[in-house]
Amino acid sequence: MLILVSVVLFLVPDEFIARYLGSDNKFTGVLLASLIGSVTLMPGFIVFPLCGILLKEGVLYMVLSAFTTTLMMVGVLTYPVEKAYFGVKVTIIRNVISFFIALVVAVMIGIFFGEIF
Amino acid sequence: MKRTDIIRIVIISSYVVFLVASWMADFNPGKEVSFNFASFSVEMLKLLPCAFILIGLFQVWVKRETVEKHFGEKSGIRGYLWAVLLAGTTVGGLYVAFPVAYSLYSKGAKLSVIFTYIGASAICRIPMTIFEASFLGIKFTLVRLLVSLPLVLVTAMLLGNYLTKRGYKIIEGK
Repeated sequence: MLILVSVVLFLVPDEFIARYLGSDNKFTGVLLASLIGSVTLMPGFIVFPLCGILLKEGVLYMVLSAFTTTLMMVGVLTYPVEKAYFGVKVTIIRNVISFFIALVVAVMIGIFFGEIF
Repeated sequence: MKRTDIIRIVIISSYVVFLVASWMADFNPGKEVSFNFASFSVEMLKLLPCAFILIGLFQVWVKRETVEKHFGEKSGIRGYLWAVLLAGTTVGGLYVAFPVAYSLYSKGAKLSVIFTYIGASAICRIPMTIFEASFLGIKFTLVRLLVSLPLVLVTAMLLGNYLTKRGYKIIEGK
């Protein structure tokens, strides 16, 4: 698991995230953000400063919320650990549910910050 | 030796060889990978031993009846409340929450409370929430918590009840 984390953190550097989250289309932005968030694993003290910078660069709140929420709730990289404790089926169900929760949260954030309409 | 063991050894040794080679050849991507590896390992080494010591103490000191009373089948709403509060004080990430959840379960907590705990420890750890609010604004944090927490509770209840009905049991190492 540690090996995977170190490789993925290299493959998905900050600039990459910044470039793709800042895309013009809101919905591809949210979708991409949640996918990137799912496959990466970052400590909170890196993520939120990064989000603060992205916010200043004009990335939407809903995109950031999709990113942070999937980052925290969906763990593709923690899959081996989770599987060891809860079994394959439950792990997959929980991660899929978490992914959809993150999407709902993103939409609600979008509504509250007036970014959808 | 089993086949999966051989594959694992090949992957790990090729990884190590790659890192050593990239240090010798001054290959920057390789160096960066090794920095990531080191910083993340240190991060986990700081947290996991403490987490496992606390879990060990919990296993020995806390009586099964206590957990059953507060997190078990008859705990009702309070069980979920306790789970969320407990999750709020968790540090680290999911990799700390899983062993804690497992030890709660082995002491007789019910499944839906366990899933609430895991979900809540992902979204509402107190130190992280404060950090988030300071960078993204309090409104953002409030909306996110108010939307995601009920969703986590509802899905945890549904999933827990569904699995309980199906007679699902958590067996470590399955």
